[in-house]
Amino acid sequence: MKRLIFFSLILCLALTACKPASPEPAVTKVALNLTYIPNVQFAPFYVAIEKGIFAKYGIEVSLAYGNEADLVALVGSDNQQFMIASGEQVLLSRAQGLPVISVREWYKDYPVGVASLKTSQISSPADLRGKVIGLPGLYGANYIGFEALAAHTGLTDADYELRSIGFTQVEALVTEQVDAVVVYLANEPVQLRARGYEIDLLKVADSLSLVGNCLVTNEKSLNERSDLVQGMVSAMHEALAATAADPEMAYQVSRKYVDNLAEDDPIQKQVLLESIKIWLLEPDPAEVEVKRWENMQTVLLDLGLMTRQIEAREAFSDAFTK
Amino acid sequence: MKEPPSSTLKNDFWQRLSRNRVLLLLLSFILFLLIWQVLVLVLNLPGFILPSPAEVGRKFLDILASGLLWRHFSATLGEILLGLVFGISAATLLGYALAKSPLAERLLSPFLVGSQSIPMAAIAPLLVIWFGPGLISKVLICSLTVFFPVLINTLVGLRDVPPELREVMRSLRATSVQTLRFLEIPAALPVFLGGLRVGASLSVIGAIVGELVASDRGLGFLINVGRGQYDTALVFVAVICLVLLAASLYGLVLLLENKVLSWQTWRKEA
Repeated sequence: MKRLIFFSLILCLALTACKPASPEPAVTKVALNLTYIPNVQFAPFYVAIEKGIFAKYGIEVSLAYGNEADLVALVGSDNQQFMIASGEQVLLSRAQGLPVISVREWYKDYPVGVASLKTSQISSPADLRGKVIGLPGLYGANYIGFEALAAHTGLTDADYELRSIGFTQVEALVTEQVDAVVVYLANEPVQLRARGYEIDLLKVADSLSLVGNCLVTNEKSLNERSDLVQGMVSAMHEALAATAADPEMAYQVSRKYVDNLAEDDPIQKQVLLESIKIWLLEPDPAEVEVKRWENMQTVLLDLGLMTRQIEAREAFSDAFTK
Repeated sequence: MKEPPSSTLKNDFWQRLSRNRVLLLLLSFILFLLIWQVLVLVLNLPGFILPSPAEVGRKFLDILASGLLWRHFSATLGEILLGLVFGISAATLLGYALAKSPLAERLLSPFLVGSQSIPMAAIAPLLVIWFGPGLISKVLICSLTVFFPVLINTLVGLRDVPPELREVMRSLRATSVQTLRFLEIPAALPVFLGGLRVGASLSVIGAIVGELVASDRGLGFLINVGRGQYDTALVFVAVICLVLLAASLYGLVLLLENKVLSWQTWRKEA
């Protein structure tokens, strides 16, 4: 009996060994940091996972969230390979020697603006003179966007008072603690209007063209895993198109990833629609991109946030969008 | 038969009330809800600035029924329990070593005291960078928060063992293990458990700081979600759960104290 079992086992092993190896498609696992928290604004990435767009390129993506500046350090040190980061963060990091690089712009416009209640009568950037402006803090896209707008308008720091209010712009504005607040175009204006507040909105993008959020990797991945970078860029491109083509589908897909998102929340649906408006569905020519990066660098140098100039062309690669 | 005067009846009522802890707790809770509701009505603020108790109650039931609350609550609870295990273990071992070696204490105490002046909110992002945004960084932050009060109380508890009792153990030729078991542990336990009470409450803050920095689960994460969606009722639910969690941990340590220190007759009398 023992002999029979032994030979059966040998036979099984032999048959397994003889079986032709089925070509398993190689799947690369990567972490993609989206910063912030799960939100309907990140719908394209949820769509890319759920609709198999990443899988089509042999990529299995796990999403992560957190503070942008911390996450840039993770990508720059090659502990993680991909994240969504704002253009100014890429420039600031590169100036500090972190080898991060943008491989696909996500936003065509800078996503920041200044919102005020209609009663404040702030209908042009010049009206900000003498006003108290609330913003999350003297850092990040809100601060840089406001300072860029103010400088472009010819206002100096003495012309307005900046007040750090954390991420309480909506609350601070409706309780009239400040005259205006610096906001993310796709979010706070939607929240305010949905709650019945009439507002004026000054978009930074109406005054000057700055680089916004982009897909960022590091130079090591760029040089050693260009196939992976190409896959991520192509998948993102397809996912943006799929989301823009069918926002309702994208919203429903997002519900799996965004806690507390109701099946039919009109405010959050509007947030998604406003987001789509600022996405770059078709990448711009390199010379247009360069201009945006150069403008951003000028703003950062003027603000004293960057102490040395870098070659703006090094901050991004258009090799994967051609 | 003569009826007792009304003032005596009133006094009886208040005395009975002050003795009934559950009833007092219930009354203070109802009073808290009433003040909250009055504030909502008087200030007339929109729900995304100050939600009413009813809105928060509805949100609580909603996310309890959908399983969302348990998913995030259990994540935070897991981080806290792991943080407590590692934090208490490390603090107790190091506390014992420092109590036994004055040289080690002199060498390490400046660093230990100095480390307490570093705000956890400032160092948490660095821990997330070094250890990643997963469970390890949260447990580590939690452990570090628990570590110091437990360490100090272990050290103080062991140092405060009366020298005459040590003398008795020596005269009985007790081994170091016997001294630890029959003298040092029982003598240091009251002070140690005092540190544990503080540590258990602080562990909740530790876990939340980590979750607020970077996470995809936990009550801290739920607070971020609520803030991002202007769902202030959700923020309130998460905060109330955190308070209840901290109070429960504190209560558990109290129960433990009553159990393991039952030999202290004065505690019973108190």
